[in-house]
Amino acid sequence: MTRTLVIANQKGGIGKSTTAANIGRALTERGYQVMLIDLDPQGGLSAALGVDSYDVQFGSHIFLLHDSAPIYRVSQRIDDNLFLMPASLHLTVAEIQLARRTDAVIRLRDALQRQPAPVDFVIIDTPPTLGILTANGLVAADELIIPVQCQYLAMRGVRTMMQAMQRLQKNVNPSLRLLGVLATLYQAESLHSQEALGEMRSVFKHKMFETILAYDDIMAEAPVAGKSVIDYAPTHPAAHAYRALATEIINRGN
Amino acid sequence: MAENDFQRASMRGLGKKILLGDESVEPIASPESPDDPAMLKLTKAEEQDLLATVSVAHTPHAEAKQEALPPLELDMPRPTQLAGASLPLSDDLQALVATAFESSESLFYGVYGEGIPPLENEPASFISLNPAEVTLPPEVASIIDENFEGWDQSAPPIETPRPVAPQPTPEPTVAPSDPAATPPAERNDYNHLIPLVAGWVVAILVLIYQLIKDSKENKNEKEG
Repeated sequence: MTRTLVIANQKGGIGKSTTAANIGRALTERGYQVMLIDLDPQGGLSAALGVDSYDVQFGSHIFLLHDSAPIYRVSQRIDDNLFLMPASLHLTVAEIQLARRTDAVIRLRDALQRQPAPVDFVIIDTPPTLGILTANGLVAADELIIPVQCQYLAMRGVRTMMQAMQRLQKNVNPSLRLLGVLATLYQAESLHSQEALGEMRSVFKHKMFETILAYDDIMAEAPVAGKSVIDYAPTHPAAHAYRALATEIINRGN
Repeated sequence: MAENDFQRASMRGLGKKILLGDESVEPIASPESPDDPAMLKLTKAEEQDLLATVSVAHTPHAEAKQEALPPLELDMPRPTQLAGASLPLSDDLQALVATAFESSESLFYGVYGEGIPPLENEPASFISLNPAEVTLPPEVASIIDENFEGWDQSAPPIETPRPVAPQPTPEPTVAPSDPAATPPAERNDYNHLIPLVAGWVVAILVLIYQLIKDSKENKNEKEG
């Protein structure tokens, strides 16, 4: 059975897209088939895998707008087990068009029910807002991962994210559950970063992933090469961290 | 540059306030180890409480803030009213500002107001580019088939409207005795006759019942 994960937090620049790309890649290393869906008009996830959103004609915007768009015509194959439904800049316009529809936030869920991707994991990356595109991701998924930067201002947005999840659970998607809160951009030498991590752990307890993603330039460099960190620097500690995270995700689903 | 010219702001103990909006928590002086394994246990009740805290902690606070806000001032001056005296701009620049405002206004109301045409009225644009209706060069189509082998089978068959003109069918020489042997499409063609047949059956049963009833009544009258 396919597990559908969404990675969401309305704070930008905290590693959502990098996390999506690398979890996907780490899962394929374990032999799973993975479909990544990029719902962010900025196309960070697509870029991290070498697909330029400026060039994308058929992508997630078409899948959201056209009932009859075949899923395999709006997707690309990255390697043997990894598939990507890339984002296009047109997603911004698509969001405006969706806003006029009564089924605006259930479009992705319905499309995936009509045309389920024959994979083990679907991972949805969302834009740094709580708009229609993010709502589509939250409605289509069963499990939510909230990446949080280990910093005060970044942590402040978690409350809104939890409220959004709670409302959607109540009204649209009762099967949505919090898979885990993921600490990102952790700086071991920073007292502030240590405190932030401690507070997150004290609140979310076992809902925090044990894996912590430390700040490292490698996260910024890998997308320049159009590769995941795992492909770009397979033996780097960051690559191992994503592998560990993938293992946690697999185990939490059991 | 002087060192320690500020008192360090600590987050310790404020996690619930920062992450969930719980105003009741107080900062703590004694630091806890973030790696304390005892902190990683969460019961079911605590888990429910975690979600409940988000809204409970937030709602009264937000309502109090809303009440305290002054009414919005909506009648803001338009650029045309500001033109001239209050703005030290050249005519060209004023015209430029006015044009920019008008276009941004139409864009703003287009996005947030009534300006966006319904989807069905959308002119030819990216919206019309449905890949299902685009014919690909054979070499591209074969690459897609190769990379997504089996993906189209996961989708349920797309419903297509029935042809308007009836298709000529050869007359059957032998009536099918086994209903299961009849192709589904053919079986569906007789579906509309079901209510008619059912109506006739009911009418015949009512007639038989009435005849039996009448004959019994006649017999009783003769005997009486």
